[in-house]
Amino acid sequence: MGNVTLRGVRKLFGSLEVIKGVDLTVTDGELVVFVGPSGCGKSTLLRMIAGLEDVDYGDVLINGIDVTDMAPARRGVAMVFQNYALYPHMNAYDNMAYGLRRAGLRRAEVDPRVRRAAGMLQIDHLLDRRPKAMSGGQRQRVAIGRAIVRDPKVFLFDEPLSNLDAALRIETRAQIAALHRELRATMIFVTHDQVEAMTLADRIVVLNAGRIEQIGTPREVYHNPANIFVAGFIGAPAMNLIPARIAARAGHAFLLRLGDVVEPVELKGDFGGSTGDIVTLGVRPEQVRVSEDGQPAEVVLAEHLGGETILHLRLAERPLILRVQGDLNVALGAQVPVTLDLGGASLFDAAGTSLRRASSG
Amino acid sequence: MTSTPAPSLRRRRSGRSEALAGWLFALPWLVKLGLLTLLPLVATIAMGFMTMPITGMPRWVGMANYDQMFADPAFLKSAQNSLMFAFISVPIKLVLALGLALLLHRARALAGFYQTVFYLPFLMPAVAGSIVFILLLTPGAGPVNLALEGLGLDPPDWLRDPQAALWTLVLISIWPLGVETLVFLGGLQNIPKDVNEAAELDSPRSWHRLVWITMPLITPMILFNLVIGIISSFQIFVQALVIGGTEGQPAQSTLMFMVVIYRTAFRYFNLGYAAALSTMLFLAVLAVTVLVFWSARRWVHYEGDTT
Amino acid sequence: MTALPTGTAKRRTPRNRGGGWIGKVMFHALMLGIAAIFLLPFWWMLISAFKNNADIFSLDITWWPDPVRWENVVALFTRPDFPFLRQFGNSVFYAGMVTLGTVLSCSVAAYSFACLRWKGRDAVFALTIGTLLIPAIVTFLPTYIVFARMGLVGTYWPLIAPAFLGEAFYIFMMRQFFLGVPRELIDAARLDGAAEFRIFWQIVLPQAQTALVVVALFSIVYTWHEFFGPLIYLNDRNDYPLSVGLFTFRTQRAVEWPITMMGSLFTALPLIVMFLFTRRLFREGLATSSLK
Repeated sequence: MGNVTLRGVRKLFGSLEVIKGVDLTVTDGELVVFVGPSGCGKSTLLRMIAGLEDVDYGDVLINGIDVTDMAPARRGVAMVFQNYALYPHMNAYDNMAYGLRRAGLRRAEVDPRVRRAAGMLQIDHLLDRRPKAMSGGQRQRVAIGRAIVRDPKVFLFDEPLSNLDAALRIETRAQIAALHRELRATMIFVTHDQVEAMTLADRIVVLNAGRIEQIGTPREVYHNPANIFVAGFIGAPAMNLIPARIAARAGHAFLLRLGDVVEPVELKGDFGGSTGDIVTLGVRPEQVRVSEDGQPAEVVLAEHLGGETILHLRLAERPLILRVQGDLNVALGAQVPVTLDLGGASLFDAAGTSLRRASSG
Repeated sequence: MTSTPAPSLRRRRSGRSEALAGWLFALPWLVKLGLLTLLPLVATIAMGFMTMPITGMPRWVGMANYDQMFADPAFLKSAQNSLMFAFISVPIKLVLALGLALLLHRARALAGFYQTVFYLPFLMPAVAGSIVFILLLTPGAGPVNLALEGLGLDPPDWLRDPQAALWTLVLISIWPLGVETLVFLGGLQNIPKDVNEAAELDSPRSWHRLVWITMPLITPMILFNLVIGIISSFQIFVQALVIGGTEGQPAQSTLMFMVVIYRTAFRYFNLGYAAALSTMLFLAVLAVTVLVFWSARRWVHYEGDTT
Repeated sequence: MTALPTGTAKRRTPRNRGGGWIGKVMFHALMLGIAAIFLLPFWWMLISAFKNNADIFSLDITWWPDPVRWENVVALFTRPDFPFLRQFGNSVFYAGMVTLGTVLSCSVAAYSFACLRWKGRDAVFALTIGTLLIPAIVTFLPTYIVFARMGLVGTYWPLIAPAFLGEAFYIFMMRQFFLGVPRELIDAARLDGAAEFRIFWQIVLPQAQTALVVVALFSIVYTWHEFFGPLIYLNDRNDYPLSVGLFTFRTQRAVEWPITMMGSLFTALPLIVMFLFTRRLFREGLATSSLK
């Protein structure tokens, strides 16, 4: 259906470089998510693929064709906007039929396509309603229907769930995932919500300040973050980042001195780094365990979510977050003995880049 | 702790004082509405059925004024002129204003400057504007004919040719289109940016967006400008007076309805007849407005929220 | 991970959205051309004011007066049959008084329509809008007769007094503004037990300052232009505002074009200057009133 390639794409607003050299390939049928904090350029990048923003340097290719200078309507892309962007003076049917009609398709060709899309999204009963007579979720489905009907090479989603309430967001998210499976279409999805990214994506592109920080599957990005930014951005609660020093190393065995903790910890893994290097150790909250022979940490805050418990601790003057399944009953200020399960931990150098070598698992 | 009075009592009291304030605040306007607007309206209609000599009492004469009206060449000519004027100048003005608004909408650099320039004519008092246009349109000495000749056209004698004189008025009234342009511009800017972008993605040809998305969404503005335009063009006065005097020179071609009313009332002192003419004007305005609004149902799209 | 850029190294020209620089130049050429056409009458007025009759009507069209006849300025202010300065003062007085009355009366009325709830309010407002359809002459004739019987012809009373009661157009405009004032402000004040007038004067009105200024500006412009009323009610040349004064001078002295032009120039000038300082407000005023 469609693949997208970005080569050396840069964009400037005046003297400010907002997209700083992006290379990326989205393959046919993939659902790729652009994720990152506000202002990182993910929407801008998406809009450059759509043709709604100019590209200052570099190329955009769709199915191998250079579309960088092509008008948006000619690129074969369809976009779903955050605010739905439905044509307010038309009903749902006409909204979806608009593009096809302008392209010259007859009624006999337009109607089945519109109805098929409406069926997929269960909006058949809304077809003769105007946008202002619809709820947010319904409008969003019409907007998606409008994109489906055009049978595009690539679907572009610009934070489509951000304006929906929490329950609707989860429901629509599932619908989009189902849609992806059914249509087997290439989709690029932009969000600032890393949960959406993790659940929807075949591959995630983590962006920060106009630069790609990492591209990888959700698993890769989670377990093997390329740098401290990705480590801190993906996963909630965020990964614990503990300043440390390599006290000694022998091959794949490291002895790390964490902060002021007297006892060094052992870390095994294929990492770079030499003795004496300042590093950062990354440990996910679920790998912080309550253990009888662990170090005592003070409970600063306990969050009981019912199915799991998150403890914000203080260990040797440093914050530490622990996450455990089930309901753990602790009092504020209590001392809890904890250990760090370092299998699968990350190690970052002084500049913040991951020290892990070889391909990740 | 003080006990609060029963809820219903409290609401009623504040509601009453608010209603009272409402009436009081609106009182001056209500006085004008009743005494200086609606009452005179009724009075004028009534006066149309009377004759009002300068000395002596007004007398009821039934339809005499109206009978006279339909045989009066001045009435017929001025009514014809006014209608022609309205139906020529208003559409032209709206089309130009819309075109200008579309251009202004595109302009990012110098937008403020252009808006100022196009709004400036609105500030020119009609008297001064008309006088200047006389100079501009004077054959030989005025630049307009010079330019037209330069383009290879054969320009008319704007001020002395009865065929062309009406067009002089049209030009004068089209020139200050700043208000209409800004209304259209406001409408264009009111279309959400992402609706425009969605249309950009959806429209194979760039003019599709203009015709199918932009235009329908500014139809409320078109309606507004149309109604205002018709009402005011029916009542054009000072420009007509400057260009054509009270006789509508040349050859009654610039005789407008308001000028006829004016001279009937304040030169010939025929107040009854003038009232009848005024009533006629009112009915005409009413009729056209109703017609426009009635047709509006078919072509005006009122949008709601899109988000 | 980002590799070294492999795409086009040279800077791309922005696609059709801006049109590239050729498109931009053509666009601005067009706009400037239209702007020139629109400014032509102003320019012509300006240069004609400084010519004499012969220059104005010469078949050799000049785009700049040669020589610049500054004496026309003096002539304008000293002509006995064109009391320009007096009429200028009259215009200022007339516009000022009408604007004062309009702002006061229309703000209270608009507040009542927008923020207060009373029975029949919406019907009365609909009626108010309806009066916009009534041609001015229809209400003018009977009120003229009444004012004449009261002996007020020849004074500014009939022209100014009604302004202190309100004007449908401005009431509509101000109501639009008032509708934009957050309801919570008023409700909170009511909860605090404030009197209605106090709420209006101290809480809502300061919020709507822009509205007041916009209405004032429009009122000044329209009243400065106002012709029919003063034409009928005033008889003495010394009482005329500039709109009528200019007109009568011209009809009396059909050949004195330079003075007429100079008079036109000075009639238009104050408004233009005022406008240049308050542009943004005009735009806002129109924007709110047209989105009905």
